[in-house]
Amino acid sequence: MKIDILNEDNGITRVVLAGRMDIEGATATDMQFSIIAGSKKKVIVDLTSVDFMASLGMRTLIVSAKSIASKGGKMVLLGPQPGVEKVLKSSGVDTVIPIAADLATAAGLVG
Amino acid sequence: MTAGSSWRRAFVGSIDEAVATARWIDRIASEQGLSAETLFAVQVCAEELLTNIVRHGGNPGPRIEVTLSVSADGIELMVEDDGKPFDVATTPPRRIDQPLDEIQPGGLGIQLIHSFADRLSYQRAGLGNRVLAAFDRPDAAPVALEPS
Repeated sequence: MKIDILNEDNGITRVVLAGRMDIEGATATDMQFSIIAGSKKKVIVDLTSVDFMASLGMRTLIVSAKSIASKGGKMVLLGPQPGVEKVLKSSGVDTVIPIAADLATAAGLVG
Repeated sequence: MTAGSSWRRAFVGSIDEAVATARWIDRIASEQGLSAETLFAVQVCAEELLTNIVRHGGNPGPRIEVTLSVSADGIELMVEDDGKPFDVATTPPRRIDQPLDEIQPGGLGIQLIHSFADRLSYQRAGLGNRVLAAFDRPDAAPVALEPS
């Protein structure tokens, strides 16, 4: 699992993930997500290059989104592939962390 | 299920072995000409079943046996373990239905198994827990009809 942190305009942080958000990917990214969630308020998680998502990957996202929301911030998920989107929607994650199809929409949602 | 091929792997449960076995299943399943959707479903269920056993099956890690059977009309993933009895097929799946600040993270794996397997069954057999997850092959060639 690869993770890149990009600083976008308007104080938005884009977390670009690539690879599998399975038990291994979640473990590998937990620490960086924890740091981001503790210091950023507008976070877009770019899932465009994530080809697999399991429950522990969703756990990482939910823990971070809760932490960001507790500070008045917001997390938005960007561009999941069809299988990953089905995982997120069948679990109801999309009801608490919005999913956007493109960066402009994600930026609008994150505020 | 019609005649096909089977692959079996036995190991003692640990996170590293679960990851290695999930990769092993991925590799075999990806060589069977499945649709992307069916392959993804097999991968999700394999990951969740194995993760669940090594995280909650007890300490020391349970013995686990995985059998992947592939035929022209479907895929079957059988996972046995000698850990704590746990009926994944009748455990109510949990779906997020509360606000973000009230969510207790975790527990979404059962829901994924129920959502992605076409059929799911559990019995006390083999090593102890025996779960069978079956997947249809909507991309399978239709059975040829006898000429009239």
